[in-house]
Amino acid sequence: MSRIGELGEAAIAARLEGTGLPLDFGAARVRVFSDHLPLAVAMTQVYRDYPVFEGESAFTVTAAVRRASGVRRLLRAQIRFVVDGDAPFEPFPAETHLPLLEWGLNWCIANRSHHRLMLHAGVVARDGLAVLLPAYPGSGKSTLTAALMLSGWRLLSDEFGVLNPAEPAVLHPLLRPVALKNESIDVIRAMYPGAAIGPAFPRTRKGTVAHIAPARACIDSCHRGATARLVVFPKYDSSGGLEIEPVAKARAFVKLAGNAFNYETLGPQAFHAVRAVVDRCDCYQLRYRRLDDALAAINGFLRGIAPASQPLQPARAQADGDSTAYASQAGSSAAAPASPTLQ
Amino acid sequence: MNSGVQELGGRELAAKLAAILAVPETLVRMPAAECDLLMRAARNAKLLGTLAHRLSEARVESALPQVLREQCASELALSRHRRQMVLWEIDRLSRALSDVDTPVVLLKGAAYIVQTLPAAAGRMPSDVDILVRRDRIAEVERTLLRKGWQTTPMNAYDQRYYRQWSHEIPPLRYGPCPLELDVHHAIVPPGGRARPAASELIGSALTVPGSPFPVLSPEDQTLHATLQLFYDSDCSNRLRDLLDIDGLLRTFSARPGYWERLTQRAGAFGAAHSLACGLRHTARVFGTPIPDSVAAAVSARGRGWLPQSAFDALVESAMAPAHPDGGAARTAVAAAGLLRARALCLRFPPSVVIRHVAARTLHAVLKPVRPDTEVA
Repeated sequence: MSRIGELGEAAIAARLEGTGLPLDFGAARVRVFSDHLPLAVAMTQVYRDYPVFEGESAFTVTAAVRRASGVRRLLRAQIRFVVDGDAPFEPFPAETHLPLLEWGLNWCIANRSHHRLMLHAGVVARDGLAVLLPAYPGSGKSTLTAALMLSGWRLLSDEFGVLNPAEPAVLHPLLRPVALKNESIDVIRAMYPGAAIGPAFPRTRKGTVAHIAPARACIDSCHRGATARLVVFPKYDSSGGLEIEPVAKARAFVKLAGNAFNYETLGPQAFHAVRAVVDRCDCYQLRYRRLDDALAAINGFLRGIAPASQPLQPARAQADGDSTAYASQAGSSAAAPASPTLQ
Repeated sequence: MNSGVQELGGRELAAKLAAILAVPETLVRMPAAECDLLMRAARNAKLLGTLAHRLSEARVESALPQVLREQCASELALSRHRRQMVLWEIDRLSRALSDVDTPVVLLKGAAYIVQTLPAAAGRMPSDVDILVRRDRIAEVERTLLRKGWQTTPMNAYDQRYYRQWSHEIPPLRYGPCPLELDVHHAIVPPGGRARPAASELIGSALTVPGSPFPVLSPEDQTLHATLQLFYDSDCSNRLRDLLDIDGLLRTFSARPGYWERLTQRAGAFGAAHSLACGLRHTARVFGTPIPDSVAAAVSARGRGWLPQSAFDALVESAMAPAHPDGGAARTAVAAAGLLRARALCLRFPPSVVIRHVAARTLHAVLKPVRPDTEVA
């Protein structure tokens, strides 16, 4: 099966204009249309290792980024996010195409995933065990998630912790490009010179945004879950050193539930699912200034938890073989540039 | 754009949606691409929750492709949550208004929910509507504002429009509740030919076991639904509203004397034309069983000033869902525009229509370019 990056910009543009470009994120499958060529160029970079699969005709979301018509187009080129015949948002400036697509897809996926509990968190895994990094303003969640992926962890998602309430031990991948903002783009670039970072988009609502292409091994294992084992509430603090504090389970529960996308929608199911996650996870607050310190700390947390000695409930077939995935990913240095700072 | 279904026009889409709603089994026998397209059209028409419910009732959703099955499950979960929110809002209202000594009647979706009508299953209510007497609405509003409801931000023109020309006050919202509360003093805007007296509506309201507030009588609920669609809307993408009428007619027609009371009440309220439209279009699209005698009696009374065939063509065109890949057809947009103009002209003198259209157009043109929503 060919990958988006191998097909090249012209072929991707043709797919976007023709039958649509299918993308498999694991817990959601989407199809994208567009008549805006710069989007094809950017997508070829940040989706470079996603396979172009054929023969699928049912999708979670079918969306288009279209050049806008209308009077205001004469003043400024604009694009719209169109889904199922509606344009739910105001037009965006034409040069912020990829941020519009990413944001629009996330919005649609979040609105169509009430069969799952959608925690707002980055999720990475190693040896079949998942670490949740809940998102709070200023937490540096995306930066940390990106750094973990680039240093060999399996990325499941930088935004969504996806749980089936009937089986809340397993986190399911919803693998999308990692969105970096402002200073963190340069931080990641300096630390991982080999990272595949797409074009930077200045002047979005959140400042400058750039996206990291997920590693190939993560994409190829996007249908395999990982068992929840660790919840780390990161907090970036430019003035201090590294501080690690255990977080009481009740407090971790409130923090996880409080910023989930659909906790209220799922009601009691969500309560039991979050409780199950918190019950089986060690929970820490991690205050850090240097990314290296944070990575070492998270590695240390998980090293302290020997998978064999912990009587984890079996996470069904989905979590099996995750260590193989990690091993193969660690072996594929082209897809996941090794971190010079860590190893 | 890779399948034959891509060429479907709005009316064909509406017909196909009606067919799969009537017999959900037909959907799962279709090729996956057509299933996908029809479910997208159902979402566009705000009917996906209802479709998901009917697929689940027919126990066939397991035959759908996995991602579509998941979307059905997601819609059903959302619909359950909205239902819960509606019941919660009703409960809060009953406490807040306990010392206001005036009847409060539940309308539309909230009424369907407390009556557990089949029409409520899978429906996605976005607001709670209540009806109170006009001379008590100020007191109700003051009480709600004192007890924590808040007005939604709105420009001065819209505020004035609501107060002067509308049959409800500007929408209220309680804290983080995702639903709006619409407080009405009538079921149609004032000024037009249709004049259902709120006092009569409230007078014949019926209590429902387990509900703190009564609901309109079956015939008044039906008339409310038909008036809202055919008297007070542009019918644009309103297949869901037509399906509500279908559901009400199917449920309530089992009650003795319903058709007689319905036609009699329609005459008394000046709502015969809207009812005639409702019966004609729901029978056409959803095959609603309507006794011939009723159809004949209603259509003889319910003549509008537009030739019926022309009006029906506009309605049919405007009501169809937008094509999931193409958006609303130009003809549908034009038809909705004409119906909107008709709805305004039914109520207002020309000078008011012109002022209103001008204000709205200006507002639309001056709208800020950038979205207010955060980029996640």
